[in-house]
Amino acid sequence: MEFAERVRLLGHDLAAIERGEECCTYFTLPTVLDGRRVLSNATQASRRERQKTFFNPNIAARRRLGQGMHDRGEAATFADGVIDEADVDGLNRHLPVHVKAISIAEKTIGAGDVWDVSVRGDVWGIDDMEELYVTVNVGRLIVEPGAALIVRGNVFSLLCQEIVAYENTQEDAFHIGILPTPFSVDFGHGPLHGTHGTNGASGRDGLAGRTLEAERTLLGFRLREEADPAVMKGSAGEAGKNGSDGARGRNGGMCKLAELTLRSVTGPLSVFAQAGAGGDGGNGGHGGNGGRGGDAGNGHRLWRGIINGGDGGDGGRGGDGGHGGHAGNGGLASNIYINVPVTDEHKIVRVTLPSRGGNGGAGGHGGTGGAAGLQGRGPTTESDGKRGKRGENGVNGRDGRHGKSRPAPWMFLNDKVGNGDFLTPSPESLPAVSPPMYPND
Amino acid sequence: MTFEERVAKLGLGDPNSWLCDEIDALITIEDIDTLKGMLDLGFDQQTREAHVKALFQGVAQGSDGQSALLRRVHEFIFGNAELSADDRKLVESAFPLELGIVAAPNKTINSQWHLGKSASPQTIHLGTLTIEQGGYITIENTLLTFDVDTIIRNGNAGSGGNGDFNILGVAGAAGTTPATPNPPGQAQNGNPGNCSSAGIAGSPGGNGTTGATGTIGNTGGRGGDGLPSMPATINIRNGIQLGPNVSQIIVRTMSGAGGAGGAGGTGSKGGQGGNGGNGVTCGCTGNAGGTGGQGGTGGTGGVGGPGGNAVDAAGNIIVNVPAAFANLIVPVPLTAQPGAGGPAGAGGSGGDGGGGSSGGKHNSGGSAGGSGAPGSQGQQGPGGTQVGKPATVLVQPT
Repeated sequence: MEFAERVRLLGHDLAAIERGEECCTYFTLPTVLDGRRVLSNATQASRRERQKTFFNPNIAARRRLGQGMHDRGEAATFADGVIDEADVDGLNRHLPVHVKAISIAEKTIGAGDVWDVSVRGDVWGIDDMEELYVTVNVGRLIVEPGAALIVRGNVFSLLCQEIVAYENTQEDAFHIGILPTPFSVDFGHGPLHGTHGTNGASGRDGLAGRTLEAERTLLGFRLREEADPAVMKGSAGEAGKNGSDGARGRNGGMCKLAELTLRSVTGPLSVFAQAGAGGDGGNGGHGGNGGRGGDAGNGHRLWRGIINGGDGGDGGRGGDGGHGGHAGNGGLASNIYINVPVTDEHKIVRVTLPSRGGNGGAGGHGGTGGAAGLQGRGPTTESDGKRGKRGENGVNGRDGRHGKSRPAPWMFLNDKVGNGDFLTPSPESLPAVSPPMYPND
Repeated sequence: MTFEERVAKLGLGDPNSWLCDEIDALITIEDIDTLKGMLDLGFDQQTREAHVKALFQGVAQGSDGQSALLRRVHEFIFGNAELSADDRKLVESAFPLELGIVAAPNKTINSQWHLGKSASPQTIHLGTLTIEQGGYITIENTLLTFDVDTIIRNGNAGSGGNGDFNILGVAGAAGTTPATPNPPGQAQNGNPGNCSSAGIAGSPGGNGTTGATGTIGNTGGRGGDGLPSMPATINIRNGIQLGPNVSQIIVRTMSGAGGAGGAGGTGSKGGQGGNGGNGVTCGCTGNAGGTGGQGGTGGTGGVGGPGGNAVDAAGNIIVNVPAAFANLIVPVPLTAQPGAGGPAGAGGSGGDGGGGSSGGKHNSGGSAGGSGAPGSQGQQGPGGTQVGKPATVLVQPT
C-alpha cells in the first residue's frame, strides 16, 4: 500500500512497475518543503526525535561553513528543523531541488554485483557540486552475498518494504554503502592527489678559461693579445634550478545524509558509511645539481715577465628542493538515519568510519653543489692560480603537513545513536574496507 | 771561416778532440751581446747591413712598442745598429735565455731532421751535410741560423710535398668542441589513481607529460690564428753537390695557417617524458595506470666555430750561396690559408619515453612513452678571413 502510494507520489507508472519494470525519472522540486514531502518517510514523532540530535558535534562544528546552511535545510527536510530567515536567500540559490527517483517492485542484486543509484549533475546540465537527491522506492530488495546497494555523494532516501540480506562471507563487506562524492567538494581545483613538483634542471658547467695566446720571438715568448685575467678564469657553474613545490591534496569527498526506511529486514544487514580520504600532497621536486666551475687557463713565462695561471671557476649552488604539498583533510559526513521495526533492530550492523587525512608530500632533496674548477698552472708553483670554491648544496624542501581525519558520520537506528551495534573506530585503527561489490571479483 | 774556426768561436773547442761526432745542446745565454756573438756568421759590416735589411724587407712590423723594440734587437743582432741603454734595460728581463746549437763536421740525414717548433732560436754549424733519399729539414715558428760548408744532395725528400729545407709556421689550433648541455629534467609524472572511497575506484592513473625539447648545442670554439714562420738564414759557404737525377735544392716556406673551427656542440638529449601514474587497488577492484609521456625532441646542434686566420711570415729567408750554385736554389713560397669553419653540431637524441605504470586490481598498467624525435643539425661555422703571406726567399750569390 505504502509502496503504491509512493509510486504515485513520484509520478511513476504503477502498472508498468507491477509488470516488473524498473521506473527511473529525474525531476525537480520547487521548494524545500516539497522535498520534505517527497523525499522523507519520517513520521512527525521521528522528526522531533531526530531534531534533538541532528546538530550533533559533527554537524554543529560546521555551522558557520557553507555546509551549515545545507545542514539546516536537510534538518527541515528529514527532521523537524525550520528554515532560518538568514538562510532563505542562500538556499534559494540551490533551488529547485534536483531529484532522481526510482521505483521497482522487486529488485535482486546478484551475488557480487553492485547497484549504484547515484546521480550526477550532467543529467540536468548543472555542476556536480550542486546538492543532488536520490530517492528509491522498492517493494522487495534482495541483496545476495557480496552484493551491495550504494550511493555516492547524493542525499539519499530509501523506502523499502522488505529487504532480504544474505550473509556476507567477507568480513569487511556491507549491503548498503553510503559513500562519498567521487570528487572533492572543497574550493580547490585539480586532482585529488596533489601533483608532484618537477625536478629542477641541473646548472650548466662553467666555461673553461683560456690560456692566452703567445708567440715565440728571438727573446722568448710574448703575448699575442692583451693580458686579461678575466679570459683566463673559469666561469662559475650555473646554479641548479629549484625543484617546484608539490601541489596540495584536495579534501576527501563528502558523505551526505541518508534516510533508510526499511519496513522488514531479513538477515543481518550491514550498513556502511565513510567519507572520502583526503588526497596526498604531491612530493616536492628535487633541486638540480649545481654546474661544475670551469677550469682556468694556464699562465706563461714571457720574456717580459710571468703570467700567472688563471683562477678556477666556482661551482654552482645546488637548487633547493621543492616543498611537499600539504595533504587534504578527510571528507565531511552527514547523519545517516535507519528506521526499521523495533523487532528488527538487532539485525542491523552499522559501521561508520572516520575519513582519513591524506599524507603530506615529501620535500624534495636539495641539489648537490657543483665541483670547483681547477686552477691554471703557472710557470712556477707560486704562480699557479687559485682553485675555485665548491658550490653550496641546495636546501631540502619541507615535508607537507598530513591531512586531518574527519569524524565518522553518526548513524542513527530508529533515530537513536546508542542502540544496537555501532562501530566507529578511531582514525588510527581504521580497517581496510574492501567490499566485494564489483563484477568479476 | 772554416768549420773548425766557427765552432772554436762558439766556444765548442777543437772538433778533433770531441768524444762524439756531433754536439746538440741547449746553451744558456746570459746577455744580448753574447747572443749576438753566437748568431754571428762572420759577415762584414756591409753584408750585415744588407742581410738584416733583406731579412725584414716587406715584413710588416707591429704597431706596438714591443714589436718596435724587437725590430731594433734584430737590427742589433744581425746588422750594425746599436741598442740604446734604455733598450738594453728593457731586454734584460729576457735573459738568461736558451739557444739551441748543433755542430758536426759531417752530418747525414735520410729522414726528417726537425729543428724545433716554437722553440728557442736554433744555430746550426756543419762541415758537410749529406741529405740522402728521404731526408729533409724542417723548422716551425723558430728562428734559424744554418751555416754549412757543403751540401750533398742524393735523391729527394720523398712523398709529402716537402722541400729540402722547410721553413714553416705553425697552424692554429683547431677550435674545441663544446660539451653537450645537460638534458632538461624529466617531465611531470601522471597522477596516481585514487579510490573515491573504500572499495570504490576513482580516477585512473594520469598520463605522463611530454618531455621538454633539449637545449641547443653550444657554438664550437674558434680556430686559433696561425703562428708565423720566423726569419732564417741558410749560409752555404763552399758549394752544393747533387747526386744522380737531382737538379735543385728546394727551399719551401709557408707561414701558419688558420686553425679549423671546432665542431658545433651536440644538442642535448630531449627531456624524458613523465612516468604514467600507477593505478591503485581499491578493495576488490582498482583502476588503470596512465601512459608514459613521449620523450622530448632533441636539442638542435650548435653552430660550428669560426675558422682562425692565417698569419704573415715574421721574417724572410736568406740563402747565401756561392754564385756558381745560386741557380740550384729553388724557392717555393706558399700562401697559408685561413681555417675552415667548424662543422655543424649534431642534433641531440630524442628523450626517453616516460616509464609505464602498473594497474590496480583487474586493470592493466599503462605502456611506456615513445622516444622523442632527434634534434636537427646546427649550421657550419664561418671560415677564417685572412690568408698568410709567405716569407720571401732571397738567394744571395756570394
